[in-house]
Amino acid sequence: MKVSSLPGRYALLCLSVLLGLFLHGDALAGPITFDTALPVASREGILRGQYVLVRATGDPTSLGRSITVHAAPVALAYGVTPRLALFGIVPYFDKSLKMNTPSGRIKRSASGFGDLLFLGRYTAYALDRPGSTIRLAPFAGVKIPTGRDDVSDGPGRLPRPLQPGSGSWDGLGGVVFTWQTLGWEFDADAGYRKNTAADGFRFGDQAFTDASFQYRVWPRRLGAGVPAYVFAVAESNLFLQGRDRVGGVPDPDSGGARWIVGLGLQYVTERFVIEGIYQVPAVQRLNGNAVETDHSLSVGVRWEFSFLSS
Amino acid sequence: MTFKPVHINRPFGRWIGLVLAATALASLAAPPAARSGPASGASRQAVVAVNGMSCPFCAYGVKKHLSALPGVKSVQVEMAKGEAIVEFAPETEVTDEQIQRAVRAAGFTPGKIEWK
Repeated sequence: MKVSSLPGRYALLCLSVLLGLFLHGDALAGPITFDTALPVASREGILRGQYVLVRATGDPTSLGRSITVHAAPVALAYGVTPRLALFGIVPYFDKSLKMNTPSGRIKRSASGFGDLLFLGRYTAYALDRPGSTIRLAPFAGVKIPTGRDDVSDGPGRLPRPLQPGSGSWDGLGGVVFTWQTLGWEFDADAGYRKNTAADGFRFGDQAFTDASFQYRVWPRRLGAGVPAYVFAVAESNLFLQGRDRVGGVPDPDSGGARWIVGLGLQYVTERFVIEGIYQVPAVQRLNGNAVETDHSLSVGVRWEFSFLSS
Repeated sequence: MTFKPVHINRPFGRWIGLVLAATALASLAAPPAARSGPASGASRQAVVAVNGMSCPFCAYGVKKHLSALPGVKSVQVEMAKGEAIVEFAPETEVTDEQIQRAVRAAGFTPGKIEWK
């Protein structure tokens, strides 16, 4: 395998991770790995910080490639109106690749801020009843290439997927559904990400659908006031990605399908949420010799604040 | 110039007294929720049904928006009952509409409002 073909080989991994991060719920409670349709109150904000670790060592070749991604995305949500919320998300990455070469095992790595994503979400439908809500909200966004995509090391410029930024302007759109009660919550979304070319490289477009079920395990009975909740969380993320294009030519070792499942916990109070989820791939049907993901871990905190004076 | 004292004959005065008393009783008997309650004397409470509010993280926005209403002394959310209890300072002029607007601004649907 040539080093020059590496970008496509782990592009799917990196993009899957990125997309998961970018769609992380920035609103109320909700899923851990993607957004929710629950409202952000007008003139209020939610700040979210996460740490995500992804390990991928399933290399079908003798290169023994091993990929580790540490990511720390920070997201800010703001309620413009009760129905319209805006989100800004910027991740910090530390990505590394280890692989066998004729001169021994080498490590290539890059770190820095990734691309900035802006999202808008509008609640198109809401059915509020005592103790429950059902909502549907389309969302759309644009990813701006603010992260560096020209990081180099000894052997030269790092492959594109190893760069913190993508270099391209990409668009994203979809719809998210939420059904929340006092005891449980179900969320699901579906969307599409259209990627563009930059410097002769284009990541394959991506379709995705996610689902999350959160069940209140504590307290078993709701007391007076606003008690803190502990939710047990089960989530599923399905990504279908087209082949990357290098110089206009499809990379045979890129793209494919990945279905990831995970279990997690959320501690939800009136002002903040602490959460964590462990995910493993249930199915990976990747094209060519792409590296398969082993597992990922995500922990984070959300904090709600208001611009209202009271 | 001299002023003559005005005399109200007794049966007519009794009628006026009865009408005033009936008016006062009627105003006391009117359903409080239908009023846009100016608080008078002691502080008053509005118990507001907040439909759709079903997790702790949602309650914060409801509290903040209700707290921003004029004359609010305290806001307490009862998650299990899906309601917020808003205590107003005496003599505060707040209408049901203002309360409903605050609940909507928090992203939820206002229900019945009971004044106590």
